[in-house]
Amino acid sequence: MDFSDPAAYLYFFYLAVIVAGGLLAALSRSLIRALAGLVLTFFGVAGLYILMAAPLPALMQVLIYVGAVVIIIFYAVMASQGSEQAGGGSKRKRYLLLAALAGLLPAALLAYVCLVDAPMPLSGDPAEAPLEELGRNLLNEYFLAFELMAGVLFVAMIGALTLCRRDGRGREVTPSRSAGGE
Amino acid sequence: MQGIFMLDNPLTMYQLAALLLLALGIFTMVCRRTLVGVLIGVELMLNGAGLAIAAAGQLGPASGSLAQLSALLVMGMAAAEATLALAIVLVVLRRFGKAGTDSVAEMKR
Repeated sequence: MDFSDPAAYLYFFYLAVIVAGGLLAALSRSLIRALAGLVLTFFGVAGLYILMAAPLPALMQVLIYVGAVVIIIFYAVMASQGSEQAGGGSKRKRYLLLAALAGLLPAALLAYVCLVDAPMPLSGDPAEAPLEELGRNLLNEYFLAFELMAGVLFVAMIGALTLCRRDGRGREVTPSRSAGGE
Repeated sequence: MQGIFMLDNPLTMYQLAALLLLALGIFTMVCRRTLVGVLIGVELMLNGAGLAIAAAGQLGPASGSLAQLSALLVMGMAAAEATLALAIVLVVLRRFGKAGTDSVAEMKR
């Protein structure tokens, strides 16, 4: 491990930020604190993007995740109750243990594959792709993905509006009720 | 910008960071009891996916710009998914009074 490179220290700093934020997001009883941990994790990942010479995803990470997604989840927290009820002691502990097992098992399996089976060759120093190239690629080679993404966002927005629609008297409109069900 | 070479393969280091996010995301998803908590876990996992894709392009033999654009598409997906999840949380709150994972476990009341 080459510790003469300051990037190595930066990598471990960002990794520590990610771990601290992730643990806060996973274990905090108050959902607002969990969201603060999520924001911390997003900033750590943005740092890793910058470290691998990809400034555009880093900026978008801050803009989209911290600026939009976290705000949307804040709305959901404000609408529901802000915290989770405390569970029973020993049962809760066993539950946490099983949850940790469920998370660690697939990650450990994939990490084994990364470390042993498929060490990919390195192409040298990461090169920073200029913004012009990214934009040109988005509008030429990857135009279909770009347009599909726009369609997905549009459909998600219409779907969210349809789900939360109320009729003129303020009652919610559900498919079963409007079809004469229930 | 300088690249980093701390292990023999920096790509593996980034992939391990992405796998850490995956583990934290699944852990959060399983141990949370509210729908909003589950949503937080999904966001953690999606973040790990974007990180792994971008690292594969920037530090591996694949095209760097393709990987960066794919990471951007993952972020767009996450935004769309968060919007729909907010709508679902609101509908569950309206019908059941609380947005716990237990309250929507039954198919019919």
